[in-house]
Amino acid sequence: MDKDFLPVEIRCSPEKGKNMNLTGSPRKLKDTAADVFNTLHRWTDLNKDGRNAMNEIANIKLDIILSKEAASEETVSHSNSFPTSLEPLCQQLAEIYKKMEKCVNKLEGFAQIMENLHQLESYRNSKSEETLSPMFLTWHTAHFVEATQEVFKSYKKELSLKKMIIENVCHATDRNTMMFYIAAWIHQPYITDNATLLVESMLTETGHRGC
Amino acid sequence: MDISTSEETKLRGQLHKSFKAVKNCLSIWKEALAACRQPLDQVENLCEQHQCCSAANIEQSGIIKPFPDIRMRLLYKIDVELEEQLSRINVEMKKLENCCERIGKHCGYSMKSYHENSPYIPLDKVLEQTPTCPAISDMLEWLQQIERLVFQQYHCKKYFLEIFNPNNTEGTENLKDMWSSGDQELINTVEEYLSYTSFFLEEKIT
Repeated sequence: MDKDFLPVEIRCSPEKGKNMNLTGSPRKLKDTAADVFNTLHRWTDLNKDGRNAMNEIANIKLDIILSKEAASEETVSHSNSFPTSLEPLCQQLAEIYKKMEKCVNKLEGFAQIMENLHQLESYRNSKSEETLSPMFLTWHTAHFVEATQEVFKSYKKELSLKKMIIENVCHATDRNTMMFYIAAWIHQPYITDNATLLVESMLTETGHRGC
Repeated sequence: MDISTSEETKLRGQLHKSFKAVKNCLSIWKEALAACRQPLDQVENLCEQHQCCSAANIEQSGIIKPFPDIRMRLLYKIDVELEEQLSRINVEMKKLENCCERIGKHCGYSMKSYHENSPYIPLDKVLEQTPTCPAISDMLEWLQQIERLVFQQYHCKKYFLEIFNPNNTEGTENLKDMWSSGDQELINTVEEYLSYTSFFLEEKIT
């Protein structure tokens, strides 16, 4: 379509001007947005690793559950419910959890950076008595703060769910509960579509994604 | 040229086009079925997850107290994923529908051509077959059989998708078997008829 006939002017993020090097708050904000994305990418990889471990645990546990169902309760001793093959898998999950915890701590740090940048920009604007203008395309610094806070909260809640799953997955006594834990690990119910959308919007705003 | 010969040529020309279309549709049909396999596996898996998550008695243990809305959220996520997989299947269904319509149209064209030209073609010509060319009557019969089979298969699949419900244990456990039942029969039948007409399809009908 001819540019003259577009009803609205679509501006690109200022970063798109290749000759212009960002400095100060926009530079810091853009880098933080990239860091948020990279951290979430790392989380996704860890979740995949955890998924494999969970599947292995499920296979072992389901075998036990099914054999228990087939035989009478008395003939299967309690110790059989926790075979030694579960131990390395549980350790693996615990390590994954620690790494995920680090990711969430990083997200908290990024949210704090955004908050500080927002305060700095608000302070500067109050000095110059100008209205707060968008830093890139349409978002004010407050939007970035809200977005990173929202993402951090989602992942923090998800992390606590992961902890509950890791602590209880080996104690599941029936197939449905086992499947519930696995599904909860895979689908990450507390990471909302909104959180994903906010990260994508942040990347578009800062020019990491094409406009 | 004798009138009956030109009318016969017209009819043979239409049959030639129709079987070419069937051949083309068969390869599209096979590709679409192959493309459905992976999303169908996913749907089966997700349905199992959906049923287990709905039935899991997790509240009893009290460990999910900090997550009161977890079941609702989890089922929502599974449903979203299911929708995604079903939409992938629906894309392939559109291809099957196109094949179904195309074969139906060609069958109609051939029958119309036969009815228009049959008064001018002697019956012995309609029934005549050579080692390389099947009889017109046989080809018309095969086309109708192919049309019926394709129509039946497409609508069976459409019906399975329409009545699909992740909570229905019986329906989802056998989804893949129900979905693919009759597929091989259809492919074998069409390939058999195409092999009978292979020399005829290589002929140039002017």
